[in-house]
Amino acid sequence: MSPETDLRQPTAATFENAAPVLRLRDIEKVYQTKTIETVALNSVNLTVNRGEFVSIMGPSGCGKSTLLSLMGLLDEPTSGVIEVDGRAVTSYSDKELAGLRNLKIGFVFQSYHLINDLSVVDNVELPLLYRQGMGGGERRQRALAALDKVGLSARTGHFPGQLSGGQRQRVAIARALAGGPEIILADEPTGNLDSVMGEEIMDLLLALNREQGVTIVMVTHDMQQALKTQRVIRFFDGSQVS
Amino acid sequence: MFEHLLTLIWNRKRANALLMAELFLSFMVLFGLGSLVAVVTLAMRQPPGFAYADVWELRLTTNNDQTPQNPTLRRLLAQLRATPGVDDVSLAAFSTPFSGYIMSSNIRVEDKPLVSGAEVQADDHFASLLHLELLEGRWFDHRDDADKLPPIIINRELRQVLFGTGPALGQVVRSSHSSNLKEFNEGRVVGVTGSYRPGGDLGAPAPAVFVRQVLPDSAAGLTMFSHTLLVRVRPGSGAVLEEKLVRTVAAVTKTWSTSVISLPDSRAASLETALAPIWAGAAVCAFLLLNVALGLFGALWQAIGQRRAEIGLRRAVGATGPGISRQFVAETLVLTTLAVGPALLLAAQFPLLNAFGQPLAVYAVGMGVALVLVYGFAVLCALQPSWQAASIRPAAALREE
Repeated sequence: MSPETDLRQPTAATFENAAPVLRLRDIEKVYQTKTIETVALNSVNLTVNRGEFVSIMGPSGCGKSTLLSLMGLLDEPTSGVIEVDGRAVTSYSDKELAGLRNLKIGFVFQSYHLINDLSVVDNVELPLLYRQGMGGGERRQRALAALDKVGLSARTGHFPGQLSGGQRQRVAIARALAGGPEIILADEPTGNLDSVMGEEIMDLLLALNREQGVTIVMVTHDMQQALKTQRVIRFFDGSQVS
Repeated sequence: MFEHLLTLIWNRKRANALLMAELFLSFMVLFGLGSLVAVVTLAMRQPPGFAYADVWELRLTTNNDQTPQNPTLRRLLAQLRATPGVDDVSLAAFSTPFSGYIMSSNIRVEDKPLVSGAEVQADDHFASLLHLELLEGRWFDHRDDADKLPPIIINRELRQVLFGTGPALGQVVRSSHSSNLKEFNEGRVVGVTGSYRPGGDLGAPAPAVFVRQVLPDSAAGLTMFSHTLLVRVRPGSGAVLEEKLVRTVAAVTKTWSTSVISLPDSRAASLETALAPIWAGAAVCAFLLLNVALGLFGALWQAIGQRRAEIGLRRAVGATGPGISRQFVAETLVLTTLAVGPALLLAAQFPLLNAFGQPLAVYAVGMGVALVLVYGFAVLCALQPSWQAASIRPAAALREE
């Protein structure tokens, strides 16, 4: 596969298909300790269609990140059903959920979460290490193609510590893209960047959504960035308010 | 994944250097101890070349008795041999089996190089009492009284070194306790025994020469501070016979005192002394292993604490909980292999260079023991932290940073 290869499994044709790729039904998430019970999410019903770019806004502590963790199958809801591609994943095993995350979901975090002891290209290859039957050559080709898409072809051998914040976030986006996911979940991807770099990253995400039909769900505090997305969902105290 | 782990460990080589040095050192120490244990085990599994069960050693102290001792000894030997329950008695020199005393001697034939071996002074009853195996010729007896050259008997190992496949019986051998050629005494070989290990269980089969010890008929003779007798008793003999022997000694000698120890007890005491350095080495190894274990355990705990976000990330991109656990164990094994590999190469030089003259099996056992223990400890130390890593909730880990 050349660096120009389309990394996504679904083609651009799916962009026009408005089928739900992710659906949350009556989701409730309660964190319980010995002395306190905290309701993080309450009766959340939310559908994300294929090819959409959705932003989630709300004050700190309103449950945005919890929602993203549930969407990313990193956490289990206390009650309710999560559907991916129309299939409820509530009863899936750890192995099945890990496989789904690997195949369908890419993550971008505010603090990048790059492994400092791995080079840029090794960081981008990380999701592909967990893909069954993929050889080292194909992994490297896919990682290089992803880095090319985010404009970091010249930095493949660098280490995260040698990059700027914007470049690190580009690496994180390349890592999310490398596996050809249907959905990218971005948790405040511009939160640690200055406005110029933040704009660059936002433009990159918008281009990925527009040109390649990648479904993106982004948590953000920035209203201007949220307004650039197709739909804004607001949360307050664990409940969806719009 | 293996290549990925190698890359990760290589890039963290500075952080891992101390741990790898500890693992390297532990392997080498365990290799040394394992090889030593193999040497001892191999030695103990070989027969000593004599039968020591039901043999007692009587240590006689003459208590400054200045009278001629040969007549007393002759009377004593006769009395003891006549004691019910006693099968045979031999007048032995101080280098009795398991005593820890070995008299070394330089032996040569014609102008061949000197051979170092143990010299055992033995009387005519020594071989039958200890059930020595005679391969050629005979043991000492009255026929040797008339020979101009003193008779000597050599063991299998000395025969091999001195004569190879050639004839041994009748050959003249010279021996001395010093390397001064003028002090060499000549003797004629009258017999060859099987292997005889004067050092007991832990002594390697080594060349040995038996020199005949006789009590002269004259009333004179040396006055010595002590004498040692070997007594073969009937199986099952105990304290009653022991008391009888002590009383017999007292009755015949009047002033001498006696202590009795069975050769099996003497062997046990000798083993205890010989094994003491091994136990000390084992204690050092245990301490070292404990240090390595604590180091590994601590390093892994610290790594997991520092790598929570990485663990969360790996879970997010497709790793399962057990997969994370396996990764940490695998990382530990790769780290151990990187440390043990050079150590193994170094250890392999010992058999290749034939250091210490030990067989390959000894070093193979040493390497095997070290490999099993180092890898075993590494895996044991990795298990708990790895399970801990597997139980980290990815959503929480990713939010913490």
